[in-house]
Amino acid sequence: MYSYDDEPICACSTPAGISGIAVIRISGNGCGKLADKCSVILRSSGDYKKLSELPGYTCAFGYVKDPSTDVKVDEVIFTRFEEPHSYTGEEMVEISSHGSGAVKQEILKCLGMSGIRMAYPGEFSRRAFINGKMSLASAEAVMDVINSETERQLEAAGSLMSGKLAEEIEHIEHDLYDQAAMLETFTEFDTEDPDEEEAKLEKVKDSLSDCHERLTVLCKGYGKGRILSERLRVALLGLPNSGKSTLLNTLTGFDRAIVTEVAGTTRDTIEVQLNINGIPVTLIDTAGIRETDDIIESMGIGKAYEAGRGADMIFYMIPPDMNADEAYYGVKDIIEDCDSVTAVFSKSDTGDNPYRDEIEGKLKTLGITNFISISAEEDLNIDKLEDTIIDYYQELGGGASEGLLITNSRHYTKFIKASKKLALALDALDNDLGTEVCASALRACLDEIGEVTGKTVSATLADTIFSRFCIGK
Amino acid sequence: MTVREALALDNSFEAGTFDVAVVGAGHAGCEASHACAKLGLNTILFTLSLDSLANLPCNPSIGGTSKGQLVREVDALGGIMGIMADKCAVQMRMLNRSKGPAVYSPRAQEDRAMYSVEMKHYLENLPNLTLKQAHITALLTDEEGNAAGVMTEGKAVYRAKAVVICSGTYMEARIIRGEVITESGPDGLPRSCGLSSSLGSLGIPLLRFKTGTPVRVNSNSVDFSQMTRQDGEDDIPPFSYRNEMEGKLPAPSEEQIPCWSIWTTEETRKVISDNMDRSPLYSGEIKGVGPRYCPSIEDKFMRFKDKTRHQIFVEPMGRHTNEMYLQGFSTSLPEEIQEKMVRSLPGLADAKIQRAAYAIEYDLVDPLSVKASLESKIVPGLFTAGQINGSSGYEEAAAQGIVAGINAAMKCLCKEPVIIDRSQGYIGVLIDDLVTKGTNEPYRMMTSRAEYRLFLRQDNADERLTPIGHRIGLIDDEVFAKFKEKIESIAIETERLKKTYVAPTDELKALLDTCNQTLPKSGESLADLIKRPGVTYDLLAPVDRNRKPLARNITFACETNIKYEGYLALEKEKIEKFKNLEKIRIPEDTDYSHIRGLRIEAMQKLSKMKPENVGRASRISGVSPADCEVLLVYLEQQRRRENG
Repeated sequence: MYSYDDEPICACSTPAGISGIAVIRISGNGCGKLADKCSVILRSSGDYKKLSELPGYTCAFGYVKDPSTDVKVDEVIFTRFEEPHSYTGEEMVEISSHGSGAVKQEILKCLGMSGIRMAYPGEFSRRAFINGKMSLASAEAVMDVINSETERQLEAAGSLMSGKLAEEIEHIEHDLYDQAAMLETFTEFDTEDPDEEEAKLEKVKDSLSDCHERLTVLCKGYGKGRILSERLRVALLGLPNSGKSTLLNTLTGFDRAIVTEVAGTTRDTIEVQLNINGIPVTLIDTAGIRETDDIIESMGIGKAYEAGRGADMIFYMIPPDMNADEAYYGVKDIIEDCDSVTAVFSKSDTGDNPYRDEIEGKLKTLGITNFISISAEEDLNIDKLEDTIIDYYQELGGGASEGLLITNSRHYTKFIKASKKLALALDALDNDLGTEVCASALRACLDEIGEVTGKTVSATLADTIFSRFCIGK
Repeated sequence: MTVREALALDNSFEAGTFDVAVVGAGHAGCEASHACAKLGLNTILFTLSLDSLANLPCNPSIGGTSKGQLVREVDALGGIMGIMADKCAVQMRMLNRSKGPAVYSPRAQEDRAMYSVEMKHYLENLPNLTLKQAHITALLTDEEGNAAGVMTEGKAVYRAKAVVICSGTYMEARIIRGEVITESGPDGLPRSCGLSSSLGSLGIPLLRFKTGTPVRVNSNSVDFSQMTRQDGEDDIPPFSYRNEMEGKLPAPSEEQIPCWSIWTTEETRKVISDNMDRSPLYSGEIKGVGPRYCPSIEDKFMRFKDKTRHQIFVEPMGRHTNEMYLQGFSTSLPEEIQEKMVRSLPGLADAKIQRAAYAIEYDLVDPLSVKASLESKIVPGLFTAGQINGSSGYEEAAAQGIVAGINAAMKCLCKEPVIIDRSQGYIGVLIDDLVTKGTNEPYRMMTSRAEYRLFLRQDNADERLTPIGHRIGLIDDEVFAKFKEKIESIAIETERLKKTYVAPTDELKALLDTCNQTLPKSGESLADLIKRPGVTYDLLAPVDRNRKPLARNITFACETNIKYEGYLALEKEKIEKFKNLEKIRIPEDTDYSHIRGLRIEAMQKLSKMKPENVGRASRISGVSPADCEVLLVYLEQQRRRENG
């Protein structure tokens, strides 16, 4: 817990989601040498060939590559910093890359393969602080953050928690404390009336089950909450001329704001951001398949797979002239990571697909159950596709209402742990292990919740304080 | 007063020099002096009356919920209460059998007179220990303000390197029965005068508490046919692990004396409510704060108005007396009302009261001025234990007594104090609560005060504390070797149960049927079978053919470890978190006024209490988790600065 290692670490410093460029930071002495494994310098002022040879505070143009295959991932600008004159006080490298989520992920993966681990939340700030790099003024600012939270106890765990969510958690916590107190009286004092105690114990059980149910709903809401901060990724997959681009244009062509449009340089995909019914969506068009024509079995699958990977939903385009085998093998290997795949019979204005029944039958064996026939040209059933997105988003929440979304991963982890411990507490009652055993698990559950509501102190809090800063800052 | 000043008084004289002087020979003082003498220190034990050593002035019983755990812990450390309680028991029961093993608590009715006699005789024969009947009226210090001795009423000056005061309810005590107030100690014994003002003049903050005790009646005048009989039990472990090792088990139930239970009647309630104006508690005569958890009968009726009746236990005081104790019936109402109250109870219509009930008020030290080692923060070398620290109960007193004794000895030997933390024992919980949270009423131990209750069981106190007792020298090598043998047997048997598989035979089915469990489809380990509700170690005997005969305490420990495995793991995780905070030390010279971000209340409390570590700081009332975060960040900053 207090063993601060100084292994090289990396993280993306720019906000999650899509942006024009992203900055990935690497810190830790020796990190340059490690990053050599996944970097290629193309141009630098002093004609340096390796990242680690780059003098401090100079930049170089080059690219990040996969260290195992040497495949180019993205063209980037490298900046190197020498210890102790860097943000963290350690040797550092900053990589300015293109901003798509997939690019960022891929670069972090390459760094990981080179021996640079992902930073824990707030780890850069913590290192800066520990190495005396955080000025007195900054250190005081840290104190002020904490101090302001002393006054707003409900928000002890950070501003990411909405008022309604805080309220619900307080309610659950309060109910659990009540039951804990009740269990204590059963444990501490001999009963005078066994029937009365039995009835009271039933009530405790009911209340604990209810709290467990509510915690579960909150945890489910995290999936939805995450979308709010990171966007829902929808990939359009299909052969060239299967109608992807038309559909993309139709979906974005309505009066919806296009936030950014970035054409990737190393991967031939187009990402478009739009809002559907208030849901932030990123549409990914796998344009690369165009060049590979009908060789689905080779390159095409690889590229489509990459685009599809990490997507929350896939729209699989099936043009009228595609037969069942083509439809089946075109998607078979791509969808295993995705739990929402919709088969879209496109260009229905030019005629129905004669193999439709056969295709549906085959795709059903892959677990695809949603089939929609559209015509982007004639705006036919486009609203059904939108509904599919909306339904998917609603499902994610598992019934959690809008104000009750957990968006913070630390909170999520704590609630998952709390929920498991509460389940153990219930088991103890169900198996007649004794009220004190139930109380023990319940207290452990309350400790977890307390780390979110600010009622529990733990030695990890110093870490937690720094975790409250955005990762990589 | 300094030793020099005391010796300058008229008629004062040098009476002797000791390593440790213990004042008060109740349960705390006996444990403290026993520990010091055992550790080889020249020790003197003062008492107001050698005939009332280790007196049981209230309940003639030892143990009970959470208190039974305390007794076993004192024994595991090498104390004497367990051995004495085993020797003088007239009835033994295991409370909370209907609950889980974590709260099983042994409890014994004791022969009160025998207990005192046995303890006195034992201490008289203890090497290094001197017993002395004397009235101590002053604590003496050296020129630097360290405790350096005590002075008696007769101006005898005893020098000592460390002083342990265990004054019980005696300091400036007053006995109250209705309007009648007597300046006296409990049970008609003399009170202690002057000692508390001597402590006060040294700057030690004092408090005043009250407690009480019920009437005693002659059993010849009791109609037991109107009462419910409560017999002792068989198959109960003794309090003392050393007795358990040697197979010295409590007497069989038929040789034990029964207790009896009754309920108060409507008449009882009427008598009390008609006479409430004569209660010194409600008239304001008693200023001391009474215990919430052991209230007087009038308190119970006033506070729980919806309860029309309360349970009373009628308990024997010993084998050679007819006196019976009315547990749950303590009162400070006038004697004439007490008579009416007792006569309203079933079976007690003709009761002859031999001793009247009373409330008692006494001086004590604010435990917030005491360290976790039980040494005073104000007068170095002074240790306090028992009711003087705000607790109530013999077991709580003994628990503090042994710790104060050990640490007075450590002080004399220039060694680090021994501190038992909250995860190691109820002793740790008790002392930590008193010295970090303080108390505004007599503090009674309860299982709910312990965070790690599943670990702090009566059956594993030796596992938790005997290694400590052995390290400091209170547990000898022979006992320790036997202890290690026991621990090893538990580990071996637990392992065997996990590795031994039982086939799903008809025989197993018949056994499982008795607790509504279904037969597994394939072989299942004995351990997994024991985890099922209702299945016990003993139940599986017929299908466990390689089982060797093992002592009951060993099989019980195996069964508990297996049945509660998942929950014990959870608790272990909690203990880890707890220890992480306890490990972060706060330098004694920390200037809290310079820590930005601390709230003023927290700053003041921390400056006053000077907690040794962040864990303790977090338990001080008025210090919030957010304050602790500020403190954690500050300490980390300091640490980095110091390490360059």
